[in-house]
Amino acid sequence: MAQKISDFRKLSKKFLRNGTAILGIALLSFFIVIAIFAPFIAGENGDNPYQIPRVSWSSKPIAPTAEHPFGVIGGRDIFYGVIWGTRTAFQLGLIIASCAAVIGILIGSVSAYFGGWVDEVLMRIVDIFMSIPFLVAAIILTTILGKGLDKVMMALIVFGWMSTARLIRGNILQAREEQYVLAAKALGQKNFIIIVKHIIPNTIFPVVVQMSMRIGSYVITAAGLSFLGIGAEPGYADWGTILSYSRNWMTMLDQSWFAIVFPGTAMVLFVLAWNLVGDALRDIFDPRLRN
Amino acid sequence: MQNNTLLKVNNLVKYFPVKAGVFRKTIAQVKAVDDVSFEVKKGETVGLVGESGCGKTTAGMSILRLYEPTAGQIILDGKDTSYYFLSRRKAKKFLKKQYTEKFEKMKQKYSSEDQVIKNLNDEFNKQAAKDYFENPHKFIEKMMDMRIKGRSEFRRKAQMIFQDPYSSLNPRHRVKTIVGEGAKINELVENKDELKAMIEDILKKVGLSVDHMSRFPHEFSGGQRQRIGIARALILKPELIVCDEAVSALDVSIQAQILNLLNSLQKEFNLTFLFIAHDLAVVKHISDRVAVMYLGKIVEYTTKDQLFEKPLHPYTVALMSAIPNPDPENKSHRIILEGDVPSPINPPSGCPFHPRCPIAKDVCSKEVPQFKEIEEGHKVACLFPGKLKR
Repeated sequence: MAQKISDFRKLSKKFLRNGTAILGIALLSFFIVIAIFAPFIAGENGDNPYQIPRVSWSSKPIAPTAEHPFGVIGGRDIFYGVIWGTRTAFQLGLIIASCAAVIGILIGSVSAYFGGWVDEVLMRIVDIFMSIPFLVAAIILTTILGKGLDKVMMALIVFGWMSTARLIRGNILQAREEQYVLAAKALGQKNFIIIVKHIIPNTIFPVVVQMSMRIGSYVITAAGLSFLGIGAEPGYADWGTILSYSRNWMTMLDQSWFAIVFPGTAMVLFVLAWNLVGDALRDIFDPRLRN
Repeated sequence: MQNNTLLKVNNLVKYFPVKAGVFRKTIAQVKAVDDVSFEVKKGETVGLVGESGCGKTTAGMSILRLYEPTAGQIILDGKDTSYYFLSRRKAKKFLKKQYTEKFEKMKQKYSSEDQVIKNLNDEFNKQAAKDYFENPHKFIEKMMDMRIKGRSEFRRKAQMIFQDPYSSLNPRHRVKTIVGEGAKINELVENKDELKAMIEDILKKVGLSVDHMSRFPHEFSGGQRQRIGIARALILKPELIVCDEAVSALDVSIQAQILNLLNSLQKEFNLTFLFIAHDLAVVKHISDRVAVMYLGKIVEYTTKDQLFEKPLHPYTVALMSAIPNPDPENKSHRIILEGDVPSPINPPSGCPFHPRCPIAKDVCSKEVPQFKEIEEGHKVACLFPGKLKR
């Protein structure tokens, strides 16, 4: 135990000396704080807080004012959308990434563990899913399922688990052949413990790192679908939805820049935060990279 | 003699099935180890040599049951351990085939129980037959009872040192976790302090220091890693250690260090080594006796001195002629073998070495040579032993 504590101290020290890791953590905490305190920062819109309040019936963009600090587009308050959109972004990213990871880990490890024709069948299914371009597949599926953020999530989960499955399968196949697994067997270790102590630690961390990095990219993809008008319903507090309002004003950026800049900045920083955190996690999980 | 033998391997066979097609039908067998028998005495080092792919590593792994052997008997310290790692059903089947059916058949053939015992060539099986005829049911029952308890005992007594010092240590575990794992599993210690003392002790014995305990494997050199591997095996105080090419991944000066370490540990702990290697110089340095393998079979088995002085099997003679001679004046005559090692999926008929043998006659392709004692303690599987001269 004492060892673990001193380890933790050593790690956190190194972590604190690593500038990019701190930036990542700081950004991420910033977003978490915003998400938690959204009602206090931007107020709450009646019984449906995820609906951006309508402040004007004109579709013309209104430049930032003291009352609407990020401006108004399509009659919606952008500030409210960006702040509450943080919650949406976390929901989207975490739910999609964790569901995709669970499915991927399940399929990948079943495939690696049983081998033979089970492996063959599952990997061909993976190939089929991978052969369809991700965005096209997601667009088609959301079109079929209908509008709404939950449908977007479903579509992204359905087409997002394959790389995790491949990653974990390859890792398990590789780890299984390592001599330290044979050595543990020769020492008399039980199969279950070998899986828990030797195979999982050497296979799961890359998946966790990959998952954290993909949280950001899922949010971008979901925003892309919303921008195209097949994502969240109009008026939903989601960064992509705000962007979709600016579609008609693209040629008049001098009048509508704020509708792109504020949600866009939020997205870029959100993705950056998860990528930096992913990098930091990789450094923590791999003892070989710790020096 | 029985008491002096630590490991006895009788007719060990390991086939790997080759599967193909949608239904994964077995279309062929890779005969990696095909009917190998030898014994290792307590405290000695037996070298197992042969070129790559001849099945020496598979033999070592099968003995330790890291691969489940296809057939054969592995007797460690006077106990048949062959069925220990089989499932209950398979173990029963094995015992029935190995003992019940064999003894009953022999009893019919020789008509008396004493004759059966007399005609068994092996001390262990003689005793087994005696016990069996006394009370067949109880004999099998007793063997089955020993199965689970025997497993951990076997794991404690027989250990392995691996070839690759890089992949044989879990990169995410610290040295103390790696070395202490065996002690924990086999409950050799009662508490953490005892475990720590034990690990410290064993690290010192293999030439590492106590402050290496909390480091990770990647912080060590190849030679040091191999020492960690040795410590991991040694903490169980095993009797038999199978060294699978334990020094071939190291450079020559480190090889010497590790070999000397193994030698001194052998004296200190009275260890028995089965040393698998392809480097004849290494084998000459460390072994007391040497078994030469070719295509899954042992072709020659004798003392080191006899093997290097007077090899009898043509394959061994050819191997010996390949040892580099450091004296430039003394030009040695090399015997170059023609062709490649045949596929173990489809080994040649008769003597497996005949397609490459310089002295092969017609009969060699028809008759399988028996592995028999030609001189005192010198077993060879060849129809014309000693005919090929250097």
